[in-house]
Amino acid sequence: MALGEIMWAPPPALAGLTALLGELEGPTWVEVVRGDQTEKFVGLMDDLRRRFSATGDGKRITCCYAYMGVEPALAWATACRDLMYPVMKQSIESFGERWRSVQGSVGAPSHYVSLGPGDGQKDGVILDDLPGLCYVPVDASTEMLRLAVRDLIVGRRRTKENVLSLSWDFAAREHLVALRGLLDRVCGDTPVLFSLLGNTLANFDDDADLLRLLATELLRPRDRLLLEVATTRELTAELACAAAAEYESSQTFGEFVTAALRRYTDLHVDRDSVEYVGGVVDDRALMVKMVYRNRTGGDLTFVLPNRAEVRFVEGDTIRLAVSRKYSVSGVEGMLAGAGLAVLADSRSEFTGGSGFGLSLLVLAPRSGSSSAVTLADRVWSR
Amino acid sequence: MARSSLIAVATFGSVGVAAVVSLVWFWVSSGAGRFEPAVGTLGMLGGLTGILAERRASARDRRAAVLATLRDEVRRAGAVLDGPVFAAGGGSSPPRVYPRLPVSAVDAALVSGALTERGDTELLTRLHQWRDEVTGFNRRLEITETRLFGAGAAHEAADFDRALRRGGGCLEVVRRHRGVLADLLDAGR
Repeated sequence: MALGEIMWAPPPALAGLTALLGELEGPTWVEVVRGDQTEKFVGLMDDLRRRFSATGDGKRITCCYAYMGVEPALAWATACRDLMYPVMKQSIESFGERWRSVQGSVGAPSHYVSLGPGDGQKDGVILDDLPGLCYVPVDASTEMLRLAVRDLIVGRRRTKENVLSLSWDFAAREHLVALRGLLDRVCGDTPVLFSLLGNTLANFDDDADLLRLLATELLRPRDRLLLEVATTRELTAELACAAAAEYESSQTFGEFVTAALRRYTDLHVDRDSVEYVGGVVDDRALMVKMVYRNRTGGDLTFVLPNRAEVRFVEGDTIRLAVSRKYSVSGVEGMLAGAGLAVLADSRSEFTGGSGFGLSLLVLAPRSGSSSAVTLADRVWSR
Repeated sequence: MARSSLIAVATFGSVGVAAVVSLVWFWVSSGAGRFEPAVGTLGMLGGLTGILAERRASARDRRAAVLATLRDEVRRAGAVLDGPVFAAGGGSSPPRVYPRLPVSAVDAALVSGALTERGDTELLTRLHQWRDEVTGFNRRLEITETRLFGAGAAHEAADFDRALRRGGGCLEVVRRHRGVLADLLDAGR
């Protein structure tokens, strides 16, 4: 059966709703929300009250909150379309070609669950090859979700009846368990293609743990995970500095990383106080930390959305974002730890000889443990 | 006695007897009568050396052609092994039809009888080993493809890719054999 031959059939409970959607004008779709936004802010408030750190290891805005709110979502969408941000531009423009080179290994027709759809440009490319199937974008940021889905529906790349938007945190185990349960009901036995694109994995503190969580809680044997990660040829201090400079060079990315700070604090944000610090971590990746440092020459106090006051002394930092570029062995180690097997891998290097590139991988859950002797081992043993 | 040996004995025996008769004829005759046995003896000698020289040149040409064909096939095998599919560090890929290592020239060389010189013993031994390795390697590729395509086990592609490239595995061994054979063929130019 070719990709896309099966059709999304809404369960009876949703049949009436999808019929209604067809009658409503404009971009409308079904969105399922868990809890309310105030729940999400509790963790952010705690993170912004952490101890002093001159190295960006204290106060922080974690990935989950960096995209929340209209301003950060719009700033990210702007960065994605910034012609002066060459790495982002190359990543998006080359995605279609890279997707087509690995598409064949996805196998059976699949519903598509996008974990962190971003501005939806890459999802649009994939959805063009999955007509009629259900599109389930998942993101803790309702605003990001709505930007992505709206563009896809307005651009007629997905009919509104085929979209089930979930404003859920895919890094939280309970949300993943609920997502799996929902997919089992909605999709039945049809395989699911999950995606985690745009090097999103690298933005999480516990990236390897997140990958393991996705593999264990979400993937069934016939499901696939499309993972896109940034890669580096080597792990050196020079390349770490180059990686930091890559992010620092983009005006629009700078606007994005400070957008959350503007939204959640009353600090007068000075762009010159944002530092991009590169380093090598765990012999598996280059890490770039984007930190905001108090360089005013005196102590400050900022106010959080819950009106709590936080002292921000001279030299203290707030980590705004974190990203990584993985070595080949670093990626392999993460995949082995998560029990994932690579079905296809499209690697491309950025122009300019920077040593950086992107890897688009089609992954499947391993049937046994990595130490077990597989059928392949028996075939190729001497 | 084999028929070919019987023919050789009959041929060279007849030539030998004819030579002896010609020598006796030359000895007992005198004057212009000696020309006839002398011409007959020299004609026989010329015919014999010509046949032997032609056979030797023909064997040398055939051997050179066989070696050239072998070198070309081993070079093509090297191109396959160094190509994107089997290259060291090559990434995993979706299931595919693997390129095979060619071995037809080796088969032809082994049955041609062109490699019969005293120094060809080691080359023949290496050719037999190479043929066994390539046959086994290609057979494993067939099993791999049958499993991935025929048994719906496309998700095992990465396992097979890893097993194929494992250190000390079939791919490494077949590369080593190819290198030895290529050196031996180049030395025999």
